[in-house]
Amino acid sequence: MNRVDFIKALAAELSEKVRPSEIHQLINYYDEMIEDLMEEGYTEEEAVTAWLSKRTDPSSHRNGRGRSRDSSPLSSLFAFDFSTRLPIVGQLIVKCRIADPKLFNNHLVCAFHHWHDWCHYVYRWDRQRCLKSHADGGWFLSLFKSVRCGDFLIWFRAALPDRHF
Amino acid sequence: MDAQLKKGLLEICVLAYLQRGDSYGYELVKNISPLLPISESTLYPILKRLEASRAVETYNKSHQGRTRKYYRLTKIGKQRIDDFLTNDWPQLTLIQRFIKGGTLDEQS
Repeated sequence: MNRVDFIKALAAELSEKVRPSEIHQLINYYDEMIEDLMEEGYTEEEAVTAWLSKRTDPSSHRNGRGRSRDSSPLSSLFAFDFSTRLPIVGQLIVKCRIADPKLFNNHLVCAFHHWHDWCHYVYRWDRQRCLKSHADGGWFLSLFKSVRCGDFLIWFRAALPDRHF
Repeated sequence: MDAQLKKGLLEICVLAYLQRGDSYGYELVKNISPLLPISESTLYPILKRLEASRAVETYNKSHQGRTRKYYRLTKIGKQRIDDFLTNDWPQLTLIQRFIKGGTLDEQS
């Protein structure tokens, strides 16, 4: 995804959840960050992806129940589908959690609860390709017990180096 | 590090970095991260808070054909650094000693 598409998608998503006066500032802030990444040598697509992978600070999403506690502006507003490389927008609610890195062999792991088909998938992104698979492990399904239809879960490997993406 | 503790320290680190000169978001993330890991998303609310409390002020500057937002330390921001170094840090040192097993009498 290029920067313009990303900004458009971001603006559309923000328009539903953030005060209008704040949207412009947020867009400018993240646009500037992406352009700075590009100045550092990232391609446009890499810069967008890098930002998406870093947009949530894992330490800010942990609380006693493992649910999202939003202290970053976008953590509950925006998601990214690594299989299509497109942003997920619409009515999905985003929840963030950190995966146990031992489970995922240092890959970024996202789990989606698709509202339209009630299926659970795990996406493993290992820089070269995206692997999508149905999740059938008990540990995984148990995480969804308290999640309403329409909710969305996403896990981030906590200690991936920035340059990994 | 504990999230709340980190949050407070990050604010001071941002102010301290700005003491060396005006800076922008990405540069702040890059230079503070080695000391205290921080993401762009974490920095945004910190900068907003600092701006709202008038510890920093902002201005736009043209950079390679685009506009970049710069942050500048204000007198209030400098005062916050001074307060941290003269009041908060000595108190934190006392708390550290106390946690390590010292008594309150030993602190003074």
